[in-house]
Amino acid sequence: MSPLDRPPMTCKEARDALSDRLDGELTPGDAAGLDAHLQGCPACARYAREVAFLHRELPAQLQDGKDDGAIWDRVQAALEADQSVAAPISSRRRSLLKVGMAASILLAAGVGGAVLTRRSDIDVAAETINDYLTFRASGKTLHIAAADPAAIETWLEERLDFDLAIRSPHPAALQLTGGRLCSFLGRRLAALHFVGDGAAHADASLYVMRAEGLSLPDQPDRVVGDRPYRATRQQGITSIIWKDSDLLYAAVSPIAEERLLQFAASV
Amino acid sequence: MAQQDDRGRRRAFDVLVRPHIGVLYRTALRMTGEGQAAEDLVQDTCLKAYSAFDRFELGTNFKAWLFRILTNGFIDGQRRRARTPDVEGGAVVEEQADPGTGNPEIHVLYRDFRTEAFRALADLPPDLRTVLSLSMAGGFTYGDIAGLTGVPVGTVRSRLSRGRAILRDRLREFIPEGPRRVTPNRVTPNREEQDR
Repeated sequence: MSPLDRPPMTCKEARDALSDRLDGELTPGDAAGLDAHLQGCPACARYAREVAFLHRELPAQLQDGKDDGAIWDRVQAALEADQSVAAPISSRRRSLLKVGMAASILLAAGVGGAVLTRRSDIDVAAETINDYLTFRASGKTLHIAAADPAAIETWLEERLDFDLAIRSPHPAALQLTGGRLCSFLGRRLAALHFVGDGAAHADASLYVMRAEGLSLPDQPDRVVGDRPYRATRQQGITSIIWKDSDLLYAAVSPIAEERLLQFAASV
Repeated sequence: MAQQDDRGRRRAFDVLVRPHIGVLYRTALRMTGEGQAAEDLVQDTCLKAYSAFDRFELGTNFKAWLFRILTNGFIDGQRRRARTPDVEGGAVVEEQADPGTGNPEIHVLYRDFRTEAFRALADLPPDLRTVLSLSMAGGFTYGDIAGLTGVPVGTVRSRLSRGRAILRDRLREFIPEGPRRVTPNRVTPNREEQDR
């Protein structure tokens, strides 16, 4: 059938054909039919002008100014970290040093997203305290702000390779306010954020991570119930670490050790 | 020897991925509607691609292979999200924030074309958003998009057309008026005029 033999396009057909034209997929036969329709249909002619404007302008509008180099740096750091998890402990330490160097560059360049810290050894207490202080100093927002543990759990579990089980409400006057996704120690971690109320104002971060390849600090045990906890204090911040099945937990806060231990035992 | 193989594999991967990282991110940004999720999607895509790199056949289309992983990752994420019931009070800060500034207040005070464009795209059903993102940012043909999404070319075509129509309705206030054609006793058309 030649173009001249075809029935006139309906508005619906013309608008589909317009979309094809913008994508460079319109056949010559349909082009003739589309042009004929536009000649006689002011509404579609206006529609054509408007969708053409959006097709031209949207690519420039739908940018966030993020530098390709920064994205690439993050991918590189993630690849290094990912390889390090699967590697034996000796090569993992070497790889983590590389991640640390990449992270230092990212942090120096003010790159957001991947939260990575400089490291010299696998030290859960030092790394979590470092991340806690870095986050507080950075003024960055939580990735998800919510009081409902289920909402935070859902958001984080979509991005983690393990399940969280957040208990609520927490005693010790610390209330859950949100969470962050972190990447250090050669793995992805969930960081849950809690704040105190009233005169007892303080905050705490609870880090949850896979325990694989990590060992507990050498500090003496504190035992609550039948579970041992390791308490470490550095830079005015206490880190209480414990293990539960294949997950490692670190509660980090400037609040007193006894209160943080009580908080940790409630999780 | 094994380490040399690993280094070679990684170098080859980097050389192939690096040219696509920008368009990968911009496509992910249009799919997810916000920067942090787009970065996560790109990172997950690259990690998956690297772990499956041995299965990539040299000489085939690497960009299409990479974007298939991205598209599947996005679609899987949407399915997981759809299975999860909405939870009251679970507002995600990033989704409220202006995509460029990260400042939620600006989102309210500074309603502009760019912010509304992000919102309009984010409000599209995921199947329409996926094909529009692959077309607008990825520059893929209908045939490519059909291969990436696993739907027929005709469906890709109608989804793109439908997506454009919805975006046009949402963003009309930002589209400048074109030259009006004056005909006897009539100025055509105006914004209120009903489409045929």
